[in-house]
Amino acid sequence: MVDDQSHSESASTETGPGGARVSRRRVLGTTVGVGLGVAGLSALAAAVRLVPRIVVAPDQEPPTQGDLLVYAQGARSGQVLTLGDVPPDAPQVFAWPMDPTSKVVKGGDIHNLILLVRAGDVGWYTVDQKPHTIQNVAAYSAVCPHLCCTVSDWRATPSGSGPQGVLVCPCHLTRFDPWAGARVLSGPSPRPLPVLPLAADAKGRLFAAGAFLTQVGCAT
Amino acid sequence: MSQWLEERLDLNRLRRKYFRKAFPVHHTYYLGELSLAAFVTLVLTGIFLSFNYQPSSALVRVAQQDVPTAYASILFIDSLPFGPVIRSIHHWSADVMIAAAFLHCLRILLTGSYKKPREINWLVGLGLLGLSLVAVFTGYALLDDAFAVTATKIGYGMAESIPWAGAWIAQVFFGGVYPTADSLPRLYPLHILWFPLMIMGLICLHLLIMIKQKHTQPPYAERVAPHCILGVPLAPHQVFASAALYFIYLGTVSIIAGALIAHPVQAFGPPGVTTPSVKPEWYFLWIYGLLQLIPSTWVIHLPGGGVLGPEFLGGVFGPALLAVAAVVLPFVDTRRSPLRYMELPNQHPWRTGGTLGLLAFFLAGTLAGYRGDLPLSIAWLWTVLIGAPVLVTVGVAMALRRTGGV
Repeated sequence: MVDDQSHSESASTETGPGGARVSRRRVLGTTVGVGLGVAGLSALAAAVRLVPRIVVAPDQEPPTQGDLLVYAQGARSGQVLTLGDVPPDAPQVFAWPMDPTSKVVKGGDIHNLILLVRAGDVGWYTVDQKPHTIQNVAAYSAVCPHLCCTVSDWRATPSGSGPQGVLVCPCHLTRFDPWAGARVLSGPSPRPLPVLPLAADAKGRLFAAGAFLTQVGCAT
Repeated sequence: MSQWLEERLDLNRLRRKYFRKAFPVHHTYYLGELSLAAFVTLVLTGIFLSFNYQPSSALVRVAQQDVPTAYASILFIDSLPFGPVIRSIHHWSADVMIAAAFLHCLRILLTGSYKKPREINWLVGLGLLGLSLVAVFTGYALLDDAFAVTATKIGYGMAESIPWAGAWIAQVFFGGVYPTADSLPRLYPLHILWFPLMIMGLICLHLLIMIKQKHTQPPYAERVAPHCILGVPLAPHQVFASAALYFIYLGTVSIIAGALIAHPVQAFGPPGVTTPSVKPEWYFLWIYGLLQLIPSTWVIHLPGGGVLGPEFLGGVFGPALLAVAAVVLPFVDTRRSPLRYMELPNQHPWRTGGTLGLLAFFLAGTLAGYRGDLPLSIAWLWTVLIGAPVLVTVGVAMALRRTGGV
């Protein structure tokens, strides 16, 4: 160690062009430092591109006003849904939005999945939810705001008068109230399901009266 | 032949230096080896699987049904001679690797073997356990059936819930917002190359440090031969014992795999719009339970746009807290002289109580995972989750103190 220090102070110092003394150790240190810095910055530039560019294909566009709703599964998959296709007091029906002019079904992104429920009586809906429904049919995003599972399950509540049925996410059992803006009744979801304002044309075909009212998905 | 090698490689020196290494004899000393045996089996069966698997979610038509290419390749593997058995051995070996590593870790914890001078190897071991859990999770996704997509989606959501950097981390590892066409091409090399490589590197480090520092010894060794290393030599005794263990393991797991085909993809079907009601593997059940117990109102807003939601608090924060406690442990619970003999659990009431309390916590979390099947209220489960570990810790510690550590 003592040897080392004496080296750096006597043998390894030289007189630079301006007459200043620059040690070899310093030149080496600066070179390595600059080299590592440049390499690090280059690596960072490469790392930024590790996040894939998000390309939104036509079938991944979010639902907009006027989009018709089509069955998302089952034998009638892809067929347009009408008011009569959503039975009252029964489990939710899953639908994709469809562009009415291009006929593109927007099923390319799970965030576009919509669930439809129908109340047995218009009085089941809260005052806030009622304007977004049409003939007792309401539409919500089917993507649970907790961890993005599909809200697939339905629990019938004991029959009687008053609102019946609860939407349940099968993953961590959050319960949503289908008649009150899908507010969280119990479980971990931090937000209610986003509401999709609904309307119907003269033939009874359901369509979106606007985009989802709040942000869809489980990103915080 | 041995003469030829001897002249070139000086094998006698190697033999004298390492082949005589003494292995203490105690049945709990085979847990780490069992984990290693499972890892070796995972690599061997994994080679076969990787030759037949296609990491793509592009749809192909199989039996009048559009299914992901990866899903179809699993069906192909299951159609090969011994294909489903080899795939099942791979699955059950992952279970054994994690179970054995966990029990090995528990033995170290109960006997205080993480203390000076073995702090570094405790950390390496924790790294191995963590890497194994992440590696097994990336393997989940590759099946690309309804179960796999649900499980992976939850993993994605948990990664994304990390404040500030979460979205970036999740999108790098899952190739964008899962599920995308880029997801399997990202997860596949992680599962079959990078995680196994990291695990192999850490296993080598773990064993090298163990050889350098020597095993802890069972307490009886101090009475029989004080200040000596008491045990059987690596060659031939320990090699025979390890080989026997490996073949017993391989035979047992083969019988289990032949009888119980793991994860039948056809039963779950290709991913659809709805989510199946499924539970994760047993080693993730406690996290799954915690995720259910955190109420929706637990949302903390941080400066800079960071948010701690229920999914972060249940899925990431809880496990991370345990990991931090484990990392800190050997630097808090210290001793002056290097540890040579295992400490007896009954002479350390609080440590033993705490370890069993941790087990009670895992079991209570697992019980919470069955909330949907059992008539258990959230309030009752919270009481058990907090009450059981405290009761077990204090109860065991008090009982051991009263008996005076005898």
